[in-house]
Amino acid sequence: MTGAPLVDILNLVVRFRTRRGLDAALSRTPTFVTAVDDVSLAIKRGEILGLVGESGSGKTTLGKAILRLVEPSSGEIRFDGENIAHLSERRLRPLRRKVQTIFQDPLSSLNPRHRVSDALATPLRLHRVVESAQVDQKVDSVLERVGLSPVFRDRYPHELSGGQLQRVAIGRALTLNPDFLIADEAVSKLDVSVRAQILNLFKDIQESTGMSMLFITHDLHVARYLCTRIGVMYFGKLVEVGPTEELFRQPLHPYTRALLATIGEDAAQASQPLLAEEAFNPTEDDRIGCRFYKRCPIHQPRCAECHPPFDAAGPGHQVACYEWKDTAKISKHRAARVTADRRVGHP
Amino acid sequence: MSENLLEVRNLRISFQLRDASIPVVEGVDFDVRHGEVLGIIGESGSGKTVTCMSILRLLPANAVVRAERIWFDGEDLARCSDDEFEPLRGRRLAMIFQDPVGSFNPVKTIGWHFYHVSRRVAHERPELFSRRDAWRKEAVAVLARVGIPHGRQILRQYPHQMSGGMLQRALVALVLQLRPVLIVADEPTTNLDNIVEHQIIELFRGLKNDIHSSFLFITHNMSVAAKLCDRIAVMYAGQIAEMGTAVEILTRPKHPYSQGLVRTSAEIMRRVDRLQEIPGELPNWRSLPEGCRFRPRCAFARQGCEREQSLRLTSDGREVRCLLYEDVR
Repeated sequence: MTGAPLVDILNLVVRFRTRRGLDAALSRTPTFVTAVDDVSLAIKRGEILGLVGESGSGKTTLGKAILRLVEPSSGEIRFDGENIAHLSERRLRPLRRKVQTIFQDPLSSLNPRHRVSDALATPLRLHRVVESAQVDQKVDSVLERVGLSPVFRDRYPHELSGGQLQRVAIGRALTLNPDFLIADEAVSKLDVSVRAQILNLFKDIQESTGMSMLFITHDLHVARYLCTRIGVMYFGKLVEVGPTEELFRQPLHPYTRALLATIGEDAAQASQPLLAEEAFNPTEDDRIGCRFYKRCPIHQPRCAECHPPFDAAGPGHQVACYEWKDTAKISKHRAARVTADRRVGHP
Repeated sequence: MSENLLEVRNLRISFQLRDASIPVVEGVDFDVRHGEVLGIIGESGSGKTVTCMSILRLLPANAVVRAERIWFDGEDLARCSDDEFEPLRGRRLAMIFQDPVGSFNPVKTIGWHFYHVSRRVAHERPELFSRRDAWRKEAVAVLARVGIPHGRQILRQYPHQMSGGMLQRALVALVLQLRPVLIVADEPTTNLDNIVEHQIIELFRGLKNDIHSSFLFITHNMSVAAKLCDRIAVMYAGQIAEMGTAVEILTRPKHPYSQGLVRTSAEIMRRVDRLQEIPGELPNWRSLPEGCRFRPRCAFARQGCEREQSLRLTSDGREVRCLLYEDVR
């Protein structure tokens, strides 16, 4: 994979206003929530980048910002070299064809009164991709590609099962032959027995078309199966990004370590205390210093002052932590240290 | 005292719709022994939640529940009236739901919930009101046990001030305050983040050993079941497909459906190039296949599968609803 990245995100910030008018003027608490906080991330051509993190970490907002479904507050989103962060809706139109998305809940993302064939044909007609005489043919070929027989053409969404609906949603995203696909928790609502089918479908499509994908998920196993690289988000910040296997073999950020320990086959490792403070509701006040500071078992005084910048830890592997070089060493006596912290009533 | 705390025999549940009666659970039998965790594994629509709700009588009015017997701690729940059942719910029988936020009253403090739960069991646990503050002391102790150290503060807080993980812990504490003999937990970790899920599972694991309650634990997650359950019932389309000890089911599943489930779950944990699929989809309730309900998706389907299958007892003491195994009964 050479050449410039397909999507290059630079210092992206997305803020949501929570109070308005007089309420905002009189309130002492902040009037906005920073959902994506100064994130830089490059997605190469032909790769599947996984974005993992807990709910509220900003991974969905990041995906929506790339789609321009939410307005970025500052920063750049370069798609194929062009900054699309502030393009008008009119000038975005050609881009809408190249970037497609699949949401978590296929039932609510399809119009209940449109047949499957309408759902698949509408984007073709809107973007005038093929001659109107060939639309039917194209719809059939898309159905075939996502593993549905032509009998589904005339069905309505309520007549389909969850797996079939997700196949239609994938098909609709594929009709325009996009360069970039954003899948937001696309398999999370599916049943275990159907999930494997859809994951394999994603894999086949990526392999046959070579398109790039951003795969947003909270399921680490799913990310590992499908993605070539994985980015980990915490509280609006991207804290670590690296090639999948390297990240799983040697996670460097303490949050990634805690996350991976929960799925570790190694029971001894998993039963160790992971975090200094277990449950914690971050507020805007915690935006000073490292976002993970309060829960981090290896924090140092300087972590409270400024969020650590990205540090290159290996080829394509970056981590935002001052102490990452010591994580491997420290992990050995981590358990002892966390216990000691608890004893003295650490914050 | 019999070995079983709960005995369910031939449980059948159907939903009455305007134009049809949909049988969602058909002929389910299971036991929960004293002090054990019975896991019910299944996908959405397999009938696992409906089964448990029927035991607590929480189903909507259009559900018709019939059973040969629902024997719970000396009483037959299938025969008793709603008035006779009412004192059991929230005392000896308790439930933990999937969504902790929805389980609390949003305009009342956590302490208010603890007070009312304590009042409910005042008859069984008079010590909670022996002194003015006794229930509060007990609540703080129970909260500490589920990993919330500063219980006194928490009792003054409102549900929205706590994170999902903390609320789920508080809900578990609330249930422990009742000292029920059977706790029904319906996917208690599904809505939580990975790290919190792991912590709650560890909490259950700890509790299992030092309280004397039995659990009926519903999940669709194999690795959660592996960590917690003593025995497992696998449900498919309203029937139990297979039942056995957790080790048996998770390491040597016999029913083709459980084999598929266990294989997919195991493969995604390892590094594989391609996942093996279970072909097809879950059956539609309005057009269930004849005979074995897994037949259209089964790689081993053969002549005879079109007949209704019963749960067979195999020579090595396992129970499987599949023609492939000889019934020794």
